[in-house]
Formats: sequence, structure tokens, C-alpha cells
Amino acid sequence: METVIQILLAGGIMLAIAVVFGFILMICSNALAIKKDERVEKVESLLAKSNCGGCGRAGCAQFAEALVKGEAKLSDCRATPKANKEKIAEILGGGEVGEETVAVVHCNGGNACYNKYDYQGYGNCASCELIAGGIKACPVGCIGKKTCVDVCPYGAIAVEDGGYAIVKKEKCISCGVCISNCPKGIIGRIPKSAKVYIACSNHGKGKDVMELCQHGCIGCGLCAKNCPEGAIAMKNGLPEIDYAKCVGCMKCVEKCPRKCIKEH
Amino acid sequence: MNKQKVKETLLGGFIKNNPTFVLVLGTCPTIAMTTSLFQAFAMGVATTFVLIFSNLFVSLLRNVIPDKVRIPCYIVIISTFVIIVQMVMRKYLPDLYGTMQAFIALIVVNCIILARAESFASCNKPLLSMLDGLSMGLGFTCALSLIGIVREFFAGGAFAGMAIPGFPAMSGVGASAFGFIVFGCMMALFNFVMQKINEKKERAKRAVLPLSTGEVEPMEAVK
Repeated sequence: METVIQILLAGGIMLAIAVVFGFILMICSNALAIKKDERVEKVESLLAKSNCGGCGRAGCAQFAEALVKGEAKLSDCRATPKANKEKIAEILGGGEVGEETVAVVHCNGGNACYNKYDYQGYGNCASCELIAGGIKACPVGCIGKKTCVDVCPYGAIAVEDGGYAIVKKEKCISCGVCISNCPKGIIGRIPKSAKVYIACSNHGKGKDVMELCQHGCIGCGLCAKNCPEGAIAMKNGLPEIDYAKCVGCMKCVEKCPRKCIKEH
Repeated sequence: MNKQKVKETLLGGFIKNNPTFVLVLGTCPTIAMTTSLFQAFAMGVATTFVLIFSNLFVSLLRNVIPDKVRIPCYIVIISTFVIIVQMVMRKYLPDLYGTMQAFIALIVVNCIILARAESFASCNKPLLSMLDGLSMGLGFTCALSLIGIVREFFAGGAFAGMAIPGFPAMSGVGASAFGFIVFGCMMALFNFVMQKINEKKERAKRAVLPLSTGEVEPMEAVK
């Protein structure tokens, strides 16, 4: 019985001390409270909360702070949906919202692209790239060793049967981690609403490309000629799509002899 | 309170019981926070504040706190003041708080504070305990600042944040390994000087005694 009383006494005294000091802390925290900008919380709640780091900040909370301070642009964040961005712009009193985009791999070579050698080593595209610029004959051909798949925080990229990486647009938040990690630099952004995209990055001449890859763009210009809206222009041996004009008629996809304009 | 004890307590933290060089307590902030003079000084001041008040309250509550749960009780008291320091720094020195955040929080488990609470404040009167906290804290601050000056000078070629013209910065020297080396060297120097002073005192004392005057010291005799 005596022990029990001792235990209770000790616990009670400790509790009393804790309560007293907790009270002191309460008073202090009121006296020393920091006025936080209310907008930061509101902005943060509207951001994508993906913490992808695509904006260059440590996370969405830091980005929200920078936004309120005016140190960051709203368009730096790609992951936040447009509707939310407009609300944020309202809170902040203006600011460029920017187009909603997704990442896309500008290559559909994969197995159709010839290999320079047989790579049997460990690792991903980055390590493969170190040996004579990767296994693919095409200098801008997807190696297909999944560096982008590994870094994508949302699992939005997969290397499928074709042997090249494909972005699943419904999962992609356009954070850009794959873009900065691809050793070939063949991942880019296109508007989310886009209907077609160019799946080749090789600017070379037709004959040269044919020797490298069965799916490479030979720069024939058929797509540009056949586009009813005039949305495609040939630039340095590769077609370029003006997404503002494109209506998604899929004429170019049909006409391309190399099938390197793809439906998005 | 007698005068002798007050004097001993006040000076103890600086020399005889210097927490850094003699007791070798709290080496974690000593290494981590002495890369620059300013940081070292801030760390010292924060610790001093916590020391004074935790000593005061531990001393006030020394007859109330049950012996078996004294450590948790001390931690409650100490952490209260650490949180207050954190709040003050966050409000008035946000930049410094950003770099020192983790180490300020770690003052809670700083062994100097627990050691003083355990060995001094729990068996002395409140005022004397406060004095002990002050002297210990200032001793710690001085030691940290000294190491900070040396490390900043060698690593950054600067004094208190101002670059010294013509002195090259050796950035590798700023690493914690060098911090240990500086710490060790200064500890050795401090103890060497203290030993010399003590020997002198001892000799002076012996000189007063009639027996030992004129005698050859045993060490010299061997030589």
C-alpha cells in the first residue's frame, strides 16, 4: 500500500509541475506568437500537395510561402490544376496561371531503333548512356532502361512492349522530374489538351534516320502539307505542332509514313 | 550565504569547473555550433538563459520533487525554458533560428544543464544556484566563442563575419573533424596554463613554509 501511495505521490507531483510549466508556456506562446500571413495557408490548401519539387522548392509549403512573398511565379508549379491556380491568383491578386501541361516522350523508336551493342550491365539509362552514348544507334533515341520510370513520383511512365517509355497522361502531373533526369533530353511538355504529339526528336536527314531507326521522322513534310488547319510547320527536319491551331482531326497521324506522329 | 562560497561559485564556471575545457560536457553543440563566432555566441547565450532559470526552478523545487522521478521533473523544467528560448529566437532572430533550430531543441538534453541541476541546484539555495547557472553559462559561452573565433579564422578567413583581407579561406577546415582538433588543442592549452598557474600557487604556498625554503625540488634533482 505504501508503495502505491509513493508512486501516486511521485506521479502527482510530476503532473503538477508539468501543468504549472505548461501554463507558463501557454502564456509565453501567446506573448511571442508570430503573425503568419493568412494567405499562405489558403494558398497551400489549393496547391497540388504533391511535394514533387518540380518548382525548385523543397515542397508545397515552401512554394506557398514564396508565392505569397512574391518570390515565385504561379506558373512554376505544373502540378496544380488550372481551376485551383485561378483561385490562388485571385487570393494573391493576379499572377500568370500558365497552361496545364503533361510530359511526353518524343521518341517511339525503342525496339525499332537499331542497337549499337549489347548492353549486359547493371543500371538504368544514365549508366548505359556513359558507354558510347547508350546502346541505341540514334543519338536521341529512348534507351528504355527506365531512368524516368524510377524517378517519376507518380508512376506515370512505363516502358512497354515497344521498348520505349510512354507517359500516361492521366497520371502525369507535369512535375518535370523525368525531364531533368532523362540523359537523352527527349522528354518535353505539351498542353494537356493536345490531341497529337511528335514522337521523334531526330533532326537528321531522311536517309540518315532510316539507317538508324524504323520509326524515326524522315522529315518528308507530308504532315505539314496535309494538315487542314496549317498547324504543322517543318522546322530543321522535324515537324512542329502549333497546339493553338490543332483541332485534332488526326490527318497527320494517318498520313505519316513512319507513324511517328502519335495520338495523345 | 558566505562570501567565499559565492566567489567560488561565480568563478567556478570559468576556470575550475569550466564546462567545456575541464568538465568536457556538452561537446555536441561545442563541435556543431562553433563554425562561426556569432553562432557560437548565440548558442552560449541560449544555454546560459536555460541554465540560469532551470537551476533556479530546480533549486526552488528541490524539496518538493521526489527523488525517484527527479530526472523527468528536471527535463520538464528544462524543456520549458528551451521552448521559451525557441519562441524568442523564432520571433526576433528568425534567420539564426533557421540555422540553429535543431541544436536549440537539443539544449533539453545538454549534459551541462542536467549536470548542474543534478549536482548543484538540487542541493543548494536558489540564489546561489542562479549564480552557478550564470557562471557556468558564461564559461560555456566564452569557451564556445574562443573555439568559434579560431575555427572561423581558419575555415573562413574571417573574424565575426568580416573577411580578413589577404587571408585565404580553407573551406575543408570547417568540417567537424577540424572542430575536434581545435577543441582538443584548446583544451590542452587551457589545462596546461591552468596547471602552470596552480603550480606557481603551490610553490608560493610552500615558500611560506619554512621547511621547504631553499630545498631543491625533487624533479630538478633527477635531472
